[in-house]
Amino acid sequence: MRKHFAYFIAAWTLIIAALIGWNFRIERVHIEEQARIEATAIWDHNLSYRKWVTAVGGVYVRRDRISPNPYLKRADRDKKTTDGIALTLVNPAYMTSRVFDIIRQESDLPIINRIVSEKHFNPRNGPDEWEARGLRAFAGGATEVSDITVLTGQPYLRLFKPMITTEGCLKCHGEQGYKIGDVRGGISVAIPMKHYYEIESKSRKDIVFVFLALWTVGSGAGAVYFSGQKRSSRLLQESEARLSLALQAGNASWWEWDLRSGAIRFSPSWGEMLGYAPRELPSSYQEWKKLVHQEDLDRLDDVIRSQVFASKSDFHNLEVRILAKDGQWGWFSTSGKIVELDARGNPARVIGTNIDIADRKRVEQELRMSEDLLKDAQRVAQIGSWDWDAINDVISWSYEYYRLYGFDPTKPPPNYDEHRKAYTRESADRLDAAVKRAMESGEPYEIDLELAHPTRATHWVAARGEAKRDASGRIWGLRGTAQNITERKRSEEELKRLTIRNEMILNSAGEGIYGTDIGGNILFMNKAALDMLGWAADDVIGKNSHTLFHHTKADGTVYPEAECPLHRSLIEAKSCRGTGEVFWKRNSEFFPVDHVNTPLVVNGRVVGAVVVFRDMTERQRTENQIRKLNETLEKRVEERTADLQKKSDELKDSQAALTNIVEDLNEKTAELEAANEKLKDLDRLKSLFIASMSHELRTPLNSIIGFSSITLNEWTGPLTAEQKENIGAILRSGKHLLALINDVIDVSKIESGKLEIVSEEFDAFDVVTEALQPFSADLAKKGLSVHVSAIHHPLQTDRRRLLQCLLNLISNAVKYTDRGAISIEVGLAESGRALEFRVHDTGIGIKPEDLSKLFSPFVRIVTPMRQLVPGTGLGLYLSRKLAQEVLLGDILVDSVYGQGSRFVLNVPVAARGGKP
Amino acid sequence: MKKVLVVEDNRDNLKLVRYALERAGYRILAAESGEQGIELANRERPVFILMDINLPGIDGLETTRLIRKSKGNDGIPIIAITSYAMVGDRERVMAAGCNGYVEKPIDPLTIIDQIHAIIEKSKP
Repeated sequence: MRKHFAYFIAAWTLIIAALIGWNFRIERVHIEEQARIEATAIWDHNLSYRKWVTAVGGVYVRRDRISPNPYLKRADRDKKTTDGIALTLVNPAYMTSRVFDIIRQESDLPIINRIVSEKHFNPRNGPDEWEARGLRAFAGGATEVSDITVLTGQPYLRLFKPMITTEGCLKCHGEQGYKIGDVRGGISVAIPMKHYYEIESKSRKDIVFVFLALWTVGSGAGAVYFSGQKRSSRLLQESEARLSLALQAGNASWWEWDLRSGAIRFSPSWGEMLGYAPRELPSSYQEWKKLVHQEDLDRLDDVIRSQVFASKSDFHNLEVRILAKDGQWGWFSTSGKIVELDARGNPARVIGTNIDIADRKRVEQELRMSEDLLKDAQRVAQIGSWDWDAINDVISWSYEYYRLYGFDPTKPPPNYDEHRKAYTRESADRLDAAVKRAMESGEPYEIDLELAHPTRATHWVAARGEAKRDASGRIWGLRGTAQNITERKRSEEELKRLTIRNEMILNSAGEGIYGTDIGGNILFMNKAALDMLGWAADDVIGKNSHTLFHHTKADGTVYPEAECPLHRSLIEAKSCRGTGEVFWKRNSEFFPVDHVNTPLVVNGRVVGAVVVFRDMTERQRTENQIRKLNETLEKRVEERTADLQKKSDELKDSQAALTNIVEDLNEKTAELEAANEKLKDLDRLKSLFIASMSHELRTPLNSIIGFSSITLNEWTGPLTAEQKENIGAILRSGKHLLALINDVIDVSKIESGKLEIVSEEFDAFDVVTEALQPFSADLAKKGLSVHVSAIHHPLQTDRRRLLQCLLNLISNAVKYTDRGAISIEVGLAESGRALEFRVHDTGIGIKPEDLSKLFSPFVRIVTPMRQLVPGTGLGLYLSRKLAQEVLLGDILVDSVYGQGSRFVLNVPVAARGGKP
Repeated sequence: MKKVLVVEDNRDNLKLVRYALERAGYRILAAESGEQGIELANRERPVFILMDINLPGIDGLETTRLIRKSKGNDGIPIIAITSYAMVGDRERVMAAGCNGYVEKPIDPLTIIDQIHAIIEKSKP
């Protein structure tokens, strides 16, 4: 350490010495520069005088003052004025020379000015050795030469600058051969340095003094520093020892981790904390990790990787759980510092501490638990708390308080003005007043406030507040709570509502109602009861009801309370009824009552009773009347009953008779049913008979008609007129018979429902044409004209039966018409869904009275003046049946007797709703 | 002369038909039973056949079916003679292979026209 100090002093001395030297040098340069500036100023001055004299071409002065310039060889050098004064011309050189002489004589150490030239007129002006060098330098282009030299035994600064030839110079020097711009020589100025050196010497003394002082101060400081160094080295060792102790005292320990080898060394004190012997401590990072809690491993790895390795930074307060020897977990806060880097700049060595933070963790845990507990408590109680530091205007809210008012708990609480908007105007005003009083007088408050925007859960809060005082009793803030009392408010309102309702119910009841305590003392009494008894409520409350109005029986004897039903119901805890008793009014009158006493049981114990009673005065009177009425009624009923009995007996007889009749009827019905069955059989038999008979009849008819027809047409040979007539009769009769049989078969089939319906599509016009064809011969024979006006229209129905109907109608028309015409029209009916076939004749017509019989079977209209027209008598009957049941239409007729008839056959274009 | 086969068991009817057909210039081949009718039809190839439906033994419908089965006979017009108003006659007759029918009692004056009308109608 002493050696260090010696080095320091040596170095310091050198520095100071160097600084002094440097400053000396600076000073010298400075001095010389000043001298040079002075010399330059003088030089410029000289030149200026010369220039002026040159410019004016010289100056004449009195010769008696100055001797003429011997080197000026000019004719006009000496002049004489008109008044006889001798003048001589002073040229620039001579003037300066004279002035320079004066200057030189002024001082012991004069400034020396010289004009120097190689081609000088005055030999004094010849250059000395130094000046000669300067002139050579000018010839080489230099414009200034300066130096410190010794002149006359004294140091001088010499400045030598060239003189440049101008036009004015040529006046004297032109003869020497100079041209304008040539260097003619120079003016040399020498400044004595003695005075400057004196100043310099004084400055040097100051510099040396200052730097010596600096040296002394620096050395002193160094001495102090080095002696301090020596002590701190000792202190370091002491403090290291103390640190170790401190670490242990602070439940901390150190560790050292060599990242290159992976070895890690923990201080033994850490092992002691965990219960490990030094040799049991982990010796590598991997081993250490085995002791770290699973949940902390990722965090640890992450910190080591990202901080130590990746960003090469230290890490602090990494909290990890370490497994102690006894299997418990210890909490440690680990910090690490990189203390050494390897050649590539990667961390090589980390030193750190492990601080046992188990206690802190426990406290944290407890704190968190107690906070949670408070939070839970506030949540359960729906109480939020707040605190206001009025001096610093700091507001804090509990979580539940935020929740209660629906504010965001992650944000700072709003200020008071903002918060009071949560309430209705009325509530906010009351709160303002309460807060003001609390702040001014310290009066605590507890008020119910209504929220301006209530939710289902929160509508009313109970706000409590109190002042916070410092030691001197000064109020410096408020704290308080808010509790959600919405439920309570609702309950209160519900209770109020129920109370009012109960009161209304009680007072609207016609019965007297009162309640008593266990001792029979009246607790309440409704209006009806008070009215009946004649008391006011205040008179009866608290009085014993039995003593007050139930003390005496109707007969005047005392009613012992023990026998009273009210008393019994209180004792036996069951409902007891009293009938036929009396209550006493205030005015000592009594009235009959029925009363029911119901005990009030709370938690299995009788606490009182409710009595409901009714004034029976009116009831008793009514009951008496009813009893009388009943008796009268009963008598009447008896009489009536006897009458009824008699009637009933008679009725029974009638019933028996009726039963007999019904039985007879049933018998008859059965007989009729049997007969009906028989008839049906007969009908079937008839149909069968007709069918087979007609078939058998037709076979011989075949021959009759066929052969008579052939014979009549003379296929077998000529006939006489008489033969023709006779055979014609046979043929007509055969045909008639055939028609008759066919009609009978059709009628039989229709009536038995066996007629076959063959539906096909065809044209109405064609049917009409076909129906007319067989009559052409007859019509021609009779000379009747025929008009047909038919439309072509499709029909969907039984063509053969339609044809049969038309044949019949046309046949009738032909038969009954002797003159005129037969017209047939076919057109759409009005409905558009049916066709009408109208057959019109100009025949004999039908009498109105006969029209109704026209369609009956086997009816022949007898026509006077006319022979019976041949026919089966079934034609129209059959046609109408066919029209109605097969074609689903009808045949209608109208006629004027003697003028003609018109039959209209109406046929739907499509049977049963099919398409036309 | 064109040959016509008449299958009819009733002599009177046959005679009536014969009058009418011969007058129209046909030669009549008469068969009194179905079997006989089939044989004659196959052998003689008549221009048309009149077939009574009510025959003893195999009836006219069955006979028609059998005639139609033989090769070369399917083109011969067969006209049935039916009783009037037998339920479902027309369908049964057409289904058996007849081209049409005339109703009993036959009218000798018009039967030729009726037959010609049926033959005309059934020509393809």
